[in-house]
Amino acid sequence: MLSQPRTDQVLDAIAADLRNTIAPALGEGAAAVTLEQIAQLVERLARRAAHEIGWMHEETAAIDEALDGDTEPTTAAALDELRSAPADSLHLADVARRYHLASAALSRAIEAAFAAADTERVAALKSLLGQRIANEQEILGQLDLVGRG
Amino acid sequence: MPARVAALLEARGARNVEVTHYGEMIGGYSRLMARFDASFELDGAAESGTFVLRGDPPPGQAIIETDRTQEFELISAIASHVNTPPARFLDADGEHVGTPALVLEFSPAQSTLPWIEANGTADLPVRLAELAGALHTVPVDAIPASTPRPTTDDVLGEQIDKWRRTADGHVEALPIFHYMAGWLDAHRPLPVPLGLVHNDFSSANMLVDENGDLVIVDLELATVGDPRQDLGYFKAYAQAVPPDLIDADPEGFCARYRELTGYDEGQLNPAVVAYFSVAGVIDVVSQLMASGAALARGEASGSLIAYNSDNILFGHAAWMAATEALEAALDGGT
Repeated sequence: MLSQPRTDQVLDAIAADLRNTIAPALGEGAAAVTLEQIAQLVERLARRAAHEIGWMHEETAAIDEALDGDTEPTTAAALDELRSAPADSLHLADVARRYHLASAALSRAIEAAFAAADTERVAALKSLLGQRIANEQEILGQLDLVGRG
Repeated sequence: MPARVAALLEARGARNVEVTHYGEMIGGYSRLMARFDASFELDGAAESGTFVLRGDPPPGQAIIETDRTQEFELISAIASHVNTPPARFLDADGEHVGTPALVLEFSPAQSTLPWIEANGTADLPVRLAELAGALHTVPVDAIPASTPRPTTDDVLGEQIDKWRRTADGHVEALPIFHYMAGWLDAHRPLPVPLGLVHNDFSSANMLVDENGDLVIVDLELATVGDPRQDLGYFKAYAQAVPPDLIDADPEGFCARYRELTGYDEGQLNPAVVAYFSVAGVIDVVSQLMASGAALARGEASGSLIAYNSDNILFGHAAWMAATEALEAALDGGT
């Protein structure tokens, strides 16, 4: 395969063509609104394609480390499921599957921490969500909702 | 389509129906919208005017799933209480126009954001409190049975649990939703009586009429519940699409709203509004997540679904920021 231009660069080029070539030909109306939404989506996909496998891999490892030794039964079971899943594939669907399992374990740990009113544990788990949100904001960029008044 | 609309009106008893100037409307975000002029005779009286057809998109393309009959019944029931365009005709199963649809009277009022661009916010914050007050004091026994109601006495608990149920029913685990559920549960405000909740109470669903009053539209998501959800939702939406009319004078807004609803200061104050800027979004968010999940499963299609589920990322950051700001305020910080 040709790795250059990268997927994110091709998607950025598509978004630029949608904005600079297609949009002026459409004028105003429902189709123009849809086109702007699609252009925004393509730009976000470019940023996502550039990083998502790496980000999911890093987050999964951080969650695994943070939950290590957690004895709360539902969290421990979810962590076991994560650790028993194949970890050697970098194909997107496989990485996403492990990310889901890590997120499920984190969800259980968060619920348990709130149920126990364990504010220190809640704060520690929240810091994992902070990294997730930072990555998401990089994907999203500047929000410019189109199509709603 | 004009002939189909005419057939609907005739099936509902109208005679000598003439439909003209039919055209698609921009701005029907969740439903297909069209505007038309019509003249007809109904119950012995001649009528002519402009109307709006509001119908379901084709199966698998809707960003939210709602019911036109439920919407028609609710608008009809609350028309005397709330400033909203009257609902006139219903095609419940799409027999006439090809998709479930209702016909509303067209409102000549102007969309809120263009009105603000031309006039500034003026006294819209007070008008917003009055619109919310009117909507939220509709007698619960006047709300039709088809409008969803809480199933337990713990109204806020049910609302909080929607975060968990939305996460647990999604195509991937959503730890941020579980965090929000836990946080909301741990910081509950005082309860208030049940009332009507619009559930998409935002500037996008408001118009400004010739008197400067706000008109509310799109009641498809309405339920009976904790009305403060709408105030929080308005604030949350305004973070993405400013201006935030509540933020101009939060204390003044809350005071006017309390006058109209009878709430006390413990039940409604700026911190409670901030609480509901998280708690109040889950009905819309759960719908958007469900359509995103359907796209992931191959059960739906359309880039608008992907666009809207992607916009939930903005919510993640906004909800977390709101909880942090409220924690700081409760702790006596900034």
